[in-house]
Amino acid sequence: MQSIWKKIKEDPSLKKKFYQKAKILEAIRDFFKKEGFWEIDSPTLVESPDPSSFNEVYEIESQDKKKFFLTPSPEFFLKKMLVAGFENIYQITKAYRDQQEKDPLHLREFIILEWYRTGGDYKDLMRDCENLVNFIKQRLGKDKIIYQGKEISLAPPWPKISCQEAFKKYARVDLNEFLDLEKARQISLKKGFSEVENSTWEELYHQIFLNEVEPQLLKEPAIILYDYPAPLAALSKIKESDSRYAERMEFYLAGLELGNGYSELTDWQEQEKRLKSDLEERRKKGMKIFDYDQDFINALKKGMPKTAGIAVGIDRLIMLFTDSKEIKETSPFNL
Amino acid sequence: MSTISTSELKKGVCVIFRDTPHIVVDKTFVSPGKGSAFYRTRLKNLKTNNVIEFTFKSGEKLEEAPLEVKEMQYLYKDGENLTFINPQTYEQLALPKEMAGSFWALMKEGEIYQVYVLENQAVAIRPPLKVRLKVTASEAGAKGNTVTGATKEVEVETGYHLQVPLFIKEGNTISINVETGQYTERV
Repeated sequence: MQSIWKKIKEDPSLKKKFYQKAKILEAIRDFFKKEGFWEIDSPTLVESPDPSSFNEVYEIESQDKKKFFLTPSPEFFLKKMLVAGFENIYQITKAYRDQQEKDPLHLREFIILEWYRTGGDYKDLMRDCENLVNFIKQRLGKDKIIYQGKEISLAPPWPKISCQEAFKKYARVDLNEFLDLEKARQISLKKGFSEVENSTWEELYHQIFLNEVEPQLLKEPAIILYDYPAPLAALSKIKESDSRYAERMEFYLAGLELGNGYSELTDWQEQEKRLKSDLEERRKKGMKIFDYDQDFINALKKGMPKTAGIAVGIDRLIMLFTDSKEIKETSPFNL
Repeated sequence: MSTISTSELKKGVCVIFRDTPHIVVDKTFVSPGKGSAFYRTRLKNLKTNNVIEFTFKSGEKLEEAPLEVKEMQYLYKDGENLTFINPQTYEQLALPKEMAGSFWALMKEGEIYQVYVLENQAVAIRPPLKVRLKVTASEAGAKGNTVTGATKEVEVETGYHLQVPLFIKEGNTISINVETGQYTERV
């Protein structure tokens, strides 16, 4: 395979994507400057990463035989800084998540943007996403976005649909009924899914979501999914008007899943419970084990102010703006 | 009956899905959240040739269909069926013409093709990437702009029609890309 620098040297038109990436990163920083946010620099080499078990972390051994890990997200550090007294902060940094197989939407090392809006909630995050994306679009001087042959309208307000509405519209399922495990099993059985007796509620939910709901959301040029069942958003604030659902949102543009955010739960006991259960999952799955970040729990004990936080995959955002079919086109040197 | 876990599925493996044999065309790991893992697959229905997408839970068990690929000689078309013979065993199998899909138009009697066989029944053909066929009739006129590359229509020995460059003559053997159905080069 020919090396990338050689390809670019022989065909300078390939430089275009790199210039666009630089413009996008610059636009993001300018957006947050305009919003009055400060970028906080956090380490990517840590002793206690987020133990969430759906991605494996990279482990590094240092010369003095200490074990370090590469962070899958800057979340814990940024939240500690919120407790320390910083308000309205963000960071564009690298996140590291090991993967089983390569796929066209994931990189082991990717660019992550996280921002935390002090005093805000998930509805503010939705507005931020609309504003940020349109700010970037304006900066790039594009009056329309074409992605893989389709024109994508990014004009706000983006369509918004709750998980309940989405399940009803696309899967003909009453999500309120589905919240009950037995009912969920019955509904899944009727739909023709197998092995439902052994499935967890989460598996039953996701099997319907992945087969019947998400494919429809991916057809929309822009869409925000919100109000997730509480079991799927353990670290979000529960809706005051309906405790079965939590204030979590995700947004998709041109069929690309770009960001995940919520009204942050600030309860240290809930967070500690979650860290412990994540480590237990890791043990069960034979994944890497480490101590959870006690310092993070101590900070939460002191009290994190009301905040809304979100993480966005910037490489995928770059894919959208550069009309790239696969994520590796945006970072061709990455492993 | 042997079962296979969804985590073991690979391209080319044949499974029974909704009571019909399907071949795995693609498989991606998907992890939507804490504690759940899935495999998004693209499966080709061997009866209808349609490809569908389905996301299975990781670890779900499927019935594996023992699909064989046999090299068989295409003898002739008999009504709606294509008859094949195994040149070693003289075993004959019939494949409904529509199971060969659009490839049928490029099939030449006497040629050896790879046939998918499930429980002694021919279910599909695994077409080659390209075929070589002789031009049997060529029209005089040209189509298109002479600067960018004029083409003309010819018929090949199977009765299939396609556009080729002007220099191709009757009697020439040409190579055709099976996926696109288009001319690639003179042989």
